[in-house]
Amino acid sequence: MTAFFKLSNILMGLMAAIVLTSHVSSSFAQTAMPPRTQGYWPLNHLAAPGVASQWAGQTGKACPGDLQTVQVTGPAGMLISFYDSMGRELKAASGVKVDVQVAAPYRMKISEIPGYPGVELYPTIELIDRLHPPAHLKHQFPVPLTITEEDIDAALADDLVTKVIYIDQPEIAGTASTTETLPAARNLLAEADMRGRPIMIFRMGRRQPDPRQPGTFFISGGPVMPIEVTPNANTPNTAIQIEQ
Amino acid sequence: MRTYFLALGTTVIVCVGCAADGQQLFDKGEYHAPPAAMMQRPGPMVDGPGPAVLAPLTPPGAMMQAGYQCPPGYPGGPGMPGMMVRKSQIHFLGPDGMNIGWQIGEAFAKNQLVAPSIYDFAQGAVYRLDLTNIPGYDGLEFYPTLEVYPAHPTTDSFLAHSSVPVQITDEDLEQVRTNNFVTKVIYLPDPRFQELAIAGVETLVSTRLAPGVDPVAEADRRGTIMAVLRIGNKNYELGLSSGAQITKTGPNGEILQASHNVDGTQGGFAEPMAIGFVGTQGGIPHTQIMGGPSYPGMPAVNMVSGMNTPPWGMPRSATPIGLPGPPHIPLGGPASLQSHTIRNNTPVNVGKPVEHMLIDVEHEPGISLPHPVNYINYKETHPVYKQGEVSYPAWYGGAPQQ
Repeated sequence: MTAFFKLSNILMGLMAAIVLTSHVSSSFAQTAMPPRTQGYWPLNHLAAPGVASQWAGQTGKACPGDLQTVQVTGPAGMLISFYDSMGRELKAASGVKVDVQVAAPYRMKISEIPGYPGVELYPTIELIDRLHPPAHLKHQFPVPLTITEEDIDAALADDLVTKVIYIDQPEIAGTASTTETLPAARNLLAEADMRGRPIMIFRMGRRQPDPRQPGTFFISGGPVMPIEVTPNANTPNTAIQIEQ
Repeated sequence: MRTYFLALGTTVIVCVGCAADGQQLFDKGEYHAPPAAMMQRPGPMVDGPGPAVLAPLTPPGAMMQAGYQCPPGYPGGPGMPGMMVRKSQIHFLGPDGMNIGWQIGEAFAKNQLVAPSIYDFAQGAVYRLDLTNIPGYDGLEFYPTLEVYPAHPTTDSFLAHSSVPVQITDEDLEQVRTNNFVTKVIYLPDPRFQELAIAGVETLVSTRLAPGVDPVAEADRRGTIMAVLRIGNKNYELGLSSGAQITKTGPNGEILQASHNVDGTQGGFAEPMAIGFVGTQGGIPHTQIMGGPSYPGMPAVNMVSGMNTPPWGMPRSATPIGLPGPPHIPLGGPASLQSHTIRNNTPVNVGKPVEHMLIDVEHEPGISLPHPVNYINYKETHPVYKQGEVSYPAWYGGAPQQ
């Protein structure tokens, strides 16, 4: 039991995120940040969705079939849709946990956003690494993804919001999740790599599926296995709806 | 004195002659590139026009077909989705109510969109649009071209998530109506020139730039171009009625129908057909490098010479260390490299190599185990029987039956 509490505390304490957007204020500064090196990172966050995850697969960070639990939260009442490899839409409320394949990009949809009537956005996520908790605890330590109203405002203003969620180095880990906003000229993957281990990339813009050519828009890297829906007090919908 | 002036004059002539060797009389500072054919294959042992220039590029239509030529079971083969052409989403912001059509072969598909609206155009191609029903410009019709640039590594992520806004303003239309040519370049600014983490799009308009400034070159200097809209007042349907049918005659004089009348107000829809592609024209590589299509769920292919495409322009000049030498500069001339030297001036202070190594290790407490034996005395004693006596094994349990 002691070991469990230590593990849970460490994992919960290590999750952190870098947020790249002009509308999210900086609220965090690491004091024990390692000095910037002159190393070269061949990848950056500007690459097309799937490039970083493909490299992760080719470099052995993930194997086919590796699933990672991701928990997506947003404004209360927001609905989140995933699209599985069969093209079906899996719709759930904010706080849903899903298992997605590492080293593959996924297109999501967020809708029914309170205060944004009629707005639907289609962000993407791609897992470029995964956590390694004990197998029976993996659903208790999802990769957290929080979509804020600032992110939505930025996307609606034709900005591209990019987040890199990483796990801190144990030596410099804080006690809570942190968010840092960086200038656009910085390579988010390199910055996350200097701070710890990049796990996931989240990107959100305003692009909509062309109703005349929907097949060219949705990408599905593999299975999406909804494993849990966290009850939301403001949203009675606690079950995943599958729409063909 | 005469000798002195003679020596002085000789010195001046020699010095000036060294500085002005007569070339200035003929060299006007101009540069002349070799012929195109020579640029493509500049000389022996040097192929291609230079590093990072790619093989002939495929237009989007052919790329779409290429995805279905894979063997069964291979991604893109039968039963699997084919390669997806990379598309940029153009967001026609306005003016509100403007109808947007486009050229399809030798005719136009009318009224396909009503602004504000979106449409995904295949990248690396030029389309001719047909703008009608513009509020405040009744009866006027414009035929701008829309050049959709290929995705670049700096715009790949943006184009996958965001649309490219195209706004046609009253100022633009007034300029066109007064016989001016308007070029609008929509580009993504280079992140190095952004202070905050803004990935916003900017537009350069030719009418707002100083005379002589090329908006395309200026936008290319500031960032990465995603689309270029060029508007003039030329009527491309002169002599044809709106949405007219184009007819051709066959070898026997029969009338062949070449295109159909497509009008969005009557429910007709036709995909736009490019009037030009990014790629090679006449053997000369285009300035835009076009990435390839990809499978669903897979990243787009950005070709890198020598990595995922055959290397082009690689020099074959030998070096003493067995690696290829630098390319022949200038390209277009014969191979000229005769010497290639690399000098390593890095100060090195890493000590001398170790010849003998001594490492003392010790366990505390020490190891104590039973000592191994060093002597074993093994002796077997066997019974001896005389002739007529029979030996039975012990398990037999008794004397044999007589």
